[in-house]
Amino acid sequence: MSAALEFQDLRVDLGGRPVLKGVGASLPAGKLIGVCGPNGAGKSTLLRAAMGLVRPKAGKALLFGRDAAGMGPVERASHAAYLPQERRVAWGMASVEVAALGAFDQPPELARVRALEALETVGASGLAERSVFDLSGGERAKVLLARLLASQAPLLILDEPIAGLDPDAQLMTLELLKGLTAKGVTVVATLHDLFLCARFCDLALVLAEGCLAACAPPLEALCPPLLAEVFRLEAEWLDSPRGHLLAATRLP
Amino acid sequence: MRRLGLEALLVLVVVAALVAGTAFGESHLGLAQYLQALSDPHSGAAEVLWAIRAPRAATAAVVGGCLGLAGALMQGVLRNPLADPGVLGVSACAGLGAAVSIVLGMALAPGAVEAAAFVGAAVGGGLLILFATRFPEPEALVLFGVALCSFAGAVTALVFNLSPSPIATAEVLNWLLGSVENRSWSDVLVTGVPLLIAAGLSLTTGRALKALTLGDETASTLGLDMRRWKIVAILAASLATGAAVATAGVVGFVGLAAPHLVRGFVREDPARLLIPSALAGAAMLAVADLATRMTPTDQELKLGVFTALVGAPLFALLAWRSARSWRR
Repeated sequence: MSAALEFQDLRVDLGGRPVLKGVGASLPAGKLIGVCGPNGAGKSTLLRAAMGLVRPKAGKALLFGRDAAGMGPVERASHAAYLPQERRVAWGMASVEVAALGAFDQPPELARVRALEALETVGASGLAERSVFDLSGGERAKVLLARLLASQAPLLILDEPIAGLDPDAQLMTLELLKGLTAKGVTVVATLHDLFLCARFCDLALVLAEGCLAACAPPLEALCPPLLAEVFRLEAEWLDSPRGHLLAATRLP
Repeated sequence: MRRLGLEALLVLVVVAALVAGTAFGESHLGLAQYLQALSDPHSGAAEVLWAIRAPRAATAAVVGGCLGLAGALMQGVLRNPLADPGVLGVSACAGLGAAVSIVLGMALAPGAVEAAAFVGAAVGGGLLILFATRFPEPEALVLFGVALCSFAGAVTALVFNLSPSPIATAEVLNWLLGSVENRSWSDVLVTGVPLLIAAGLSLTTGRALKALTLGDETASTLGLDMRRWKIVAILAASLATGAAVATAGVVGFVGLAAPHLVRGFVREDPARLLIPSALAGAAMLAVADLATRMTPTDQELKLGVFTALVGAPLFALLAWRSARSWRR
């Protein structure tokens, strides 16, 4: 299977400090991939490098086999869409207008149709004409997710898509992303919730202090020795009818 | 349709302001004189209306249009409703250019002061573009703009300080206060052409301004070369600001207030805001100029003084309202 996203010995320095210290991984198309790691491990930087938003010091991030850093904006947007962690919106535009920004390369009427479809997919049809300034944090997150979906890009890259959402919205988001992979879309998302990562993701890419700690199916990658070493957790996976549960305590 | 409706309405307001600016003034004309002005182009009344008042009102409108457009562009680029051409120092640089030319005795050459103001605006805009390509964050650009504004102000003060002639100093001060007194149809043309070019350029940046709603980095992932569009937007804003300052001196707050007046009508869309904001600026400045003429003072109020007197409290009110909405 061909790789949708590939990192080749990727090294990135931010402000003179090494953040990624040689990450190599190949992420297959049509999968949901969770990027995990403690705060400061380099997760966001990895995603930004994949989008060509930070220049690698060495190595490469390849989008469908092409160097992300060398791509023009139009080509990059046709390959991948990106949802940042930051959910700030500068102007109080109508939600449908914000969602339509995802389909920027399309004529305005088509962009609007796609935006309305995407809003329906995330269960936010009722918000279409409301100003994003009048929405709650969770509602705004849905509109921004709809913006990402409206792009219809073959690769979606999401930074903390479920942070700050209620349990229902977290599950809805991950079910939706999982559903997209069935249509061949590749989804790469940073996740702090290891239990949800295990439940929904096909692969877990674990970063520790800028290095790759594991890239494998979640239960394999997030094995107790790794959880102890990378996350400082004394943890074990328990079977339950609703999937695997993580029982964890902090290591002293 | 709704959008064209808004623009048509604003055009009507601008036309009404121009008609009022032509019809009313310091000297009272009777009905007979108005009729004479319309029928006999060589009468004294016609001279007052068509050679003094009408070009003055039109100059005010065109300058206001420049400032309104530049304000909408700057606010869009910086994603900040409190930005305007004055904040980023383009006006101050244009003012500095004019001050230097006056003190150097270039005021006698026709168009020299205006050209110097244009050069000042171009230098200021160029510095902003250089900075914006290196540091895309709007906060960084605001801080740099504030520094540029202060520095241009300081050098202007130095020009005052070192000026050998008090007459030149008075002239610079007079010019810096901002006015459209005694402007002719050629001034309308000299300001109007850059305004049209800037408006044409600004319309090409509409999509980029809209994308910037999501922030710089995300905007660049939507498939637009943001660096290039930012340069075009700053270029258009500098051109419009330079034209306005070259013709009328420093007139503050129109660039700030005009976008605010119409933002609600375009549902905060920064792309749709551009032309309505220019039209609102045109109407505002034409009305403000009429107000300075009609205010019964011994010395005619300077336009820049008037807009600052009205605009500064408005700025405070807007800041207060923004701060309250941030708290929500």
